[in-house]
Amino acid sequence: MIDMMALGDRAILLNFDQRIDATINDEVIALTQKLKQQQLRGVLTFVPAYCSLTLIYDPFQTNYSRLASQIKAVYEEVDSANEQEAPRHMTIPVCYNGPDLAEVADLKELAVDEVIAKHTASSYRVYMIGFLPGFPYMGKLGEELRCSRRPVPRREVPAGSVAIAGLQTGIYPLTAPGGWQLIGQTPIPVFREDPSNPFLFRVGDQVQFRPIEEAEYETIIKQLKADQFDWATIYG
Amino acid sequence: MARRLSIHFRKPGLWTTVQDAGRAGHQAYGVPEGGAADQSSCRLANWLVDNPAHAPVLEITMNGPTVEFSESAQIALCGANIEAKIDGQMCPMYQTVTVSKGSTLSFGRLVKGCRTYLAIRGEWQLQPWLGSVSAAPRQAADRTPDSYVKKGDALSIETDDQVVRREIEETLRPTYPTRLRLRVVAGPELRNFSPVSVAYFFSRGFEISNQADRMGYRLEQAIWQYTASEELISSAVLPGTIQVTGSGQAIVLMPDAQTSGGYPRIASVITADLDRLAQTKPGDELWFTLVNQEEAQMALQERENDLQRS
Repeated sequence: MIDMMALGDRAILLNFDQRIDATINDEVIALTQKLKQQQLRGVLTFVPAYCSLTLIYDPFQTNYSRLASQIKAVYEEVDSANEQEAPRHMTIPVCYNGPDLAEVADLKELAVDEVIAKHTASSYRVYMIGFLPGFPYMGKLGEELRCSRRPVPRREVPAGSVAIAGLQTGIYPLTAPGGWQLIGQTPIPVFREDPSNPFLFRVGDQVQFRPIEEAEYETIIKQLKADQFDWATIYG
Repeated sequence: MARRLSIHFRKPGLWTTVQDAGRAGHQAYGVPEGGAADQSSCRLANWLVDNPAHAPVLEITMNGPTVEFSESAQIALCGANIEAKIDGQMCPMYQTVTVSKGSTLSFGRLVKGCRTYLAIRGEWQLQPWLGSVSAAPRQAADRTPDSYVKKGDALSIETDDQVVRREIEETLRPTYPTRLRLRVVAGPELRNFSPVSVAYFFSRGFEISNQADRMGYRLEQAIWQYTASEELISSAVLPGTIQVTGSGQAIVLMPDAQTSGGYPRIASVITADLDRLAQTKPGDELWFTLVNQEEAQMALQERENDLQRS
């Protein structure tokens, strides 16, 4: 069941069941793919999120009521179990040396090793991308790792920082202000120079973290610089 | 005959950036559209120098730069009146102006509006990112290194000697009042607000606070009887969306705003009124009028007709 509403005069918002839930996010992705295939006149961009999908359109080519009926017709036909492209699986190496790691461990009454073990144990879904270009909102963490944002955000979180907040985990693609708890650092650029393919993640990706030592971190950095990094280690 | 023109920034001004129509299409990756906050002025200025409508322009905010021209050039200024001068003499706005080699464009006091747009005839030589030379969001500024103007910077433009003289007649030039009504459509969460909160929102002017920039304008005065519900699960927002924070303060989003948010959206400024929004500044007062989708579309068509007529 979706709730359709106008978002301004050039977008239409489709709200699914409002919960952070993999099945609901699957429905968002399935509908996005199905609607893209329809090539609806005037639709410019799709913005999927946790449990909503926004279509931005050209108001000179279409309007809210026309799009709403077109979407309604398509929605009724979507079967998310079958419509999906298979999600991509990615493994991201992380050096668990974040400035907040000890504090998080303390807070959750765990050993640092246990925090790392729990963070790397399961794969997480990319629910949406926002806040910064390429920033993946991933989840859900287990309850044992849930923590609130820092009360005073940092003015500068280094690019590559692996962070957690609430039941979400993410990676800062750029140096930016931020309030998430920083538990590690990845050498893998989330946001790349390559203009044809700048974003590492997209909605629906399944991401697993792999702990590495500083030595391997430095090696990967060197390989990336020399354009010798084997990206196959990330995918698959 | 093609020649290369360099413009040198002796002073950068308060917030001077290169803008064009923006980089739509990447909101799903967290990239805001960006682009000139006042697209009408951008288009008019480009027309006056016979550049394509969405060619790059300089967006100059409240306090202008000092720019030296290495060669003669044709320029035009549209938008806010910031007392433009060429070599100390008043420079007219809303018409094609020829500046000679070695001349200096400078600005004085902000008289009206907030942002003025400088178009320069020719092809600007800049590094685009995702199809646009609009200054990228601040944290990704290195993607568009030439588009954030700093003191001592220079920009190159390939130009020619074709002389074009155009003017936009006075009656067609926009005025920029400091108290104005913006038309809005209902936001997705309008129905979550109490009747008193909604009535408050539509019954008075809101002063723009000093926290106003290309990401958003924070408005003073908390909305009455606003009971912050739990934050929403993040979903998309657009420039013009008006969010209300936990403390009841409204924020009107601007072109560089983040692409998603978790605050309730009470209303959205209609596309046709975004240009006028871009010409307001801290201390100005915004009033909101509710319109429906049809009225919003008509307003957009009217704006387009007006632009064509100029």
